[in-house]
Amino acid sequence: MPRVIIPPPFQGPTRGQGEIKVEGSTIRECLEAVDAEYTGFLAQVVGEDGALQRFVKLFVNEEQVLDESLDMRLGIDDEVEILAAIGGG
Amino acid sequence: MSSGPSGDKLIRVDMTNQSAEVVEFPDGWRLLGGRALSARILLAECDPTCDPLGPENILVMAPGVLSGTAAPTSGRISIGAKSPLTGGIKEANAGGQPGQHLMKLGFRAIVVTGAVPDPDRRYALEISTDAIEVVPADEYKGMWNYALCEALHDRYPKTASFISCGPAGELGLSGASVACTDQDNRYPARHAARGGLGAVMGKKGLKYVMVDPGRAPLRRPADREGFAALCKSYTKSYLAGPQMFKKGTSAVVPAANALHTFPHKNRTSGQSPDVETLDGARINESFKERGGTMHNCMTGCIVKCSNIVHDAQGRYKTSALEFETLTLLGSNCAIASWEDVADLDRLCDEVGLDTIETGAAIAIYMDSGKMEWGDSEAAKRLVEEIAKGTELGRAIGNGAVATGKYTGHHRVPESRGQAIPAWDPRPLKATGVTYCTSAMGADHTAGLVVKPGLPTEEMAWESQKVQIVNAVCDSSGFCQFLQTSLDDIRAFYAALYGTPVSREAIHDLGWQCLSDEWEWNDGAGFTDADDKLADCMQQDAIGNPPTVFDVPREIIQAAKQRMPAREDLFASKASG
Repeated sequence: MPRVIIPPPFQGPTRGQGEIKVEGSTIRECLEAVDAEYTGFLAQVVGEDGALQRFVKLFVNEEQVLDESLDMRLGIDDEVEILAAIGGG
Repeated sequence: MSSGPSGDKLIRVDMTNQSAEVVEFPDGWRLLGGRALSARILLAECDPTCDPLGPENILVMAPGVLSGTAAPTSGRISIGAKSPLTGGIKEANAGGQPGQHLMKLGFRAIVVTGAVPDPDRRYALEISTDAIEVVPADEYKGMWNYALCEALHDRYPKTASFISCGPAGELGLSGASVACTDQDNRYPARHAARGGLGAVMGKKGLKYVMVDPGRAPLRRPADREGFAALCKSYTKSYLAGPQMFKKGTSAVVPAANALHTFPHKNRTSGQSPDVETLDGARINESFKERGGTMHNCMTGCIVKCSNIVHDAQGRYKTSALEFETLTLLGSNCAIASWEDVADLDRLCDEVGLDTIETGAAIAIYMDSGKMEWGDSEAAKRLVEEIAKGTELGRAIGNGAVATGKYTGHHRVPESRGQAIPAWDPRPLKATGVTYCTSAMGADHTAGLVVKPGLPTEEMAWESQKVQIVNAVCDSSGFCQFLQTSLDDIRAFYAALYGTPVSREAIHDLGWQCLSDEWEWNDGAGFTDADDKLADCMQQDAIGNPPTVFDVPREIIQAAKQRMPAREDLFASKASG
């Protein structure tokens, strides 16, 4: 099953869990699967228009998903990492 | 292999007789810079019971250990003294050029004592390769910072940078900042803002410091090849990564709002209906038609998080319009337009004011019913009134607590007398632990922890860890946005001086800085009872689900007891 790596700022809904294995063949399916288990997670990452939130970046197997497509297909051993710039004065 | 930079000096300035002398810098202090150096000097030399606006207070201006070298984004400067806002020790940190310039000349710190006998006189400190002297500067008395720097551009070489205080500092107001000029236009847009250090500078009669390095070279490390390789590899790695701050901290607005830490109407809510119009993306969108751009505030910076903002006519308006300013002067005051916040940012930079403290004060004034929420024009008039020193202007200019007393209003979000920044301790409880325990008071740069799901039992370690990392970072000269770790910093130190720096040693450096600060505050009369937040943070719930700051006292106090180092201490990145 693909793994979803969740940064600390978004671990509120996941109750501190930073790494979750889920069923899903695309990035979107995996994120929705996390949200099915931990309500409130998806809204942090995906906007109401269904696109990635602007302040979020996605990496699959440490390669940035440059076109930010949530429909990118995943293999069973793939890792999706979510990054967000949360900090600043 | 050489031993690295040597023969460093301190500049000691006595404002009572307007003299300056150069003295040796203790070689045993070579890994002390910035915040740690300021704390060490103040602990050794400054009476914690002194009047912060009196001659016994000591003002320290100290670049970081790596400033003036080729290390990327390493030119930060720390300003330190007893704070007139908190009554405790204070370090505020700024970018711009003066840090780089001082270190290229081999000056590890400027230590300013005394005060001019005639409070109506003004002086300047001139530092160059030719001379170091205190000179009369009465013609600049009362000048706003931009006009001051424009005049100084005509007076001094193009290679010079400036540190100054504005009218707020000259009036001795506790919200007064110390301004540093940036790289491109040499505008006074980089502020060591928190804690009223501009008032310390102003009340000593010191209007500005000029630093001209001329053609002084970069500082030479002991291990030149190793240092160069580190610079190259770190830069390559950083630029190949996500570069999360390259659109500026203002881009954090929607993320912060989603986390209920974009305070609205004096922190009565953690989310704002104006998130779209205050989003930094609007600023970036304006570049295409108006000009303006992202840039780096200091030479050698690879982060380039600073914005240059133009008005609708394409003219320069302000620079470094940051997330905190958009929050405290924007959302927190229910001011909806980023353009109005840009005007306020410029005004604060001109008058020499901390935008966080000023925004918090104005929001309290609005919350007390004495000004309409969102009245940006009235807010601008208020800032102008601060510069005039009216009774109301002084109250606002003295910050959130003073404004609370002036209005009699009950809701004053502060810790240790300093207004709470945008990062709210109710959804971010471990950050609240930092606010309670840091000698700095409510200061997110002392240790920001953005982990909403963090179990209570881990909060003490998370706060202590980031306080140590940030203390070392703020001593190194590195900007927190470069996000260096303790392992990164000790590698650079080792190459700089040709001597390995162990994990234990770098941990000790960070802990000693915090300990020096706590010890100084003990001397100022602070006790554990002061390690708390304002009642409103413990009573007024925000967020979803609604939450207050309810971290148990034993967890808060545990953050001040040194814990054994864990592996994550050395890999964790600076966070502020």
